[in-house]
Amino acid sequence: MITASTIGSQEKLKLAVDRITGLPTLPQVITEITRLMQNPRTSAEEVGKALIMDQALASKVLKLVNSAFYGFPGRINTITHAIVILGFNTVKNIILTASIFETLGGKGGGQKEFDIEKFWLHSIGTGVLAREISKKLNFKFFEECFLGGLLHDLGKIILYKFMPEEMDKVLQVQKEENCLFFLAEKKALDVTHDQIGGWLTSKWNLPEDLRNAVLYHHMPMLSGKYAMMVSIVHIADILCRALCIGSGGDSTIPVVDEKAWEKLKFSRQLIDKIYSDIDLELEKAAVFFQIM
Amino acid sequence: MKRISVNEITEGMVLAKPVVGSGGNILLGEGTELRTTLISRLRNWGVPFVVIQSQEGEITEEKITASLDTKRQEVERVFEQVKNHPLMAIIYEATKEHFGKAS
Ligand SMILES: [Fe+2]
Ligand SMILES: [Fe+2]
Repeated sequence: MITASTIGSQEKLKLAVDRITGLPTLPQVITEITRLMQNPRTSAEEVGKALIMDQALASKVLKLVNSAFYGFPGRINTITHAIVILGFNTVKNIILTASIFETLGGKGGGQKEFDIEKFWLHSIGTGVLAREISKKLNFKFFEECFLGGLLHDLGKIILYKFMPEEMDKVLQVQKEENCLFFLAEKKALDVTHDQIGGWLTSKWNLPEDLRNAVLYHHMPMLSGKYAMMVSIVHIADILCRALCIGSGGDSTIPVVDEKAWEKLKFSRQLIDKIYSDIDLELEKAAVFFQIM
Repeated sequence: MKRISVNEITEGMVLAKPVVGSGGNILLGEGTELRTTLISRLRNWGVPFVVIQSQEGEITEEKITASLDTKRQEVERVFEQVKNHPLMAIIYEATKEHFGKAS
């Protein structure tokens, strides 16, 4: 049901994002590759050919597939070879990951008050944790969970890079009240990063599971059939803050959603298992800073 | 320093930690500069990854896994407002123990 207040918040979001200028698009080859991969008769060669049209992106993808983070044995020299060994789906997720860093990575432009290096550590850390949680739960979409974690705070980087005035206001409130970034946004703008990020995932035509992870990472139970993946991202965000990996612009921690905790059958034992492998996984994730 | 897969090694990188064989013997010492012949030897040995020295300005594992003392203090600060919540208390205890163990 659409209530008066939800219309209000949609309008506020629209007003805010309409002021954005110079927003980048994802590399053009992404559209082409998504189209190709939807067709079951597409060959690995065709995808490889499409990707090398964007040399910068292709070299990032190859760097990732050969990194310790993905841990595939032997050297992979071409995209075609990568698809044959790893399969379409894994390669598609890696291409998407590389294109996110290509489009939004780097330190350029933005508010000095917001520590962008810590922001990327928080995003990568949440991705790595989401991937670990899903592996421990035998939830097979672990590469999707990684992407969901990596992108969950997408709206914050949009604020940082393309909405400097709004970001200023949020940072000021956050500093004064030492509250969650989310609450500072609510107070300063009445528009929050999950809404802004969700809006961008639609604009960029990102997959529906990712859109849900971005839009509902603070309220995972609203994500319907994606609730499993979104709950994983929600808890990964919290564990990432618990482990003090980077920062998403505040230094406190939101309370975990009890329904999400139940859904994942979370427990002390499970946390211990996740933590036991996490340092090694984080070390391997250093590769992402090399492709920014 | 940073841990990289053998596939990521490029010529001229320098080992920050020795490469140790399955019997505990040192195959290549700390400070070894990796030349083409050594890189292919590492591959033949089946070594999965090596720890190399990092170049200036790079984000490395030290930054990702910041020093434990700082982390212990940060954990207290981060949980200050929420550790009375029953589920958050579980996460808090697990995290504290994790940092305790890692020392
Ligand atoms: Fe968030
Ligand atoms: Fe976050």
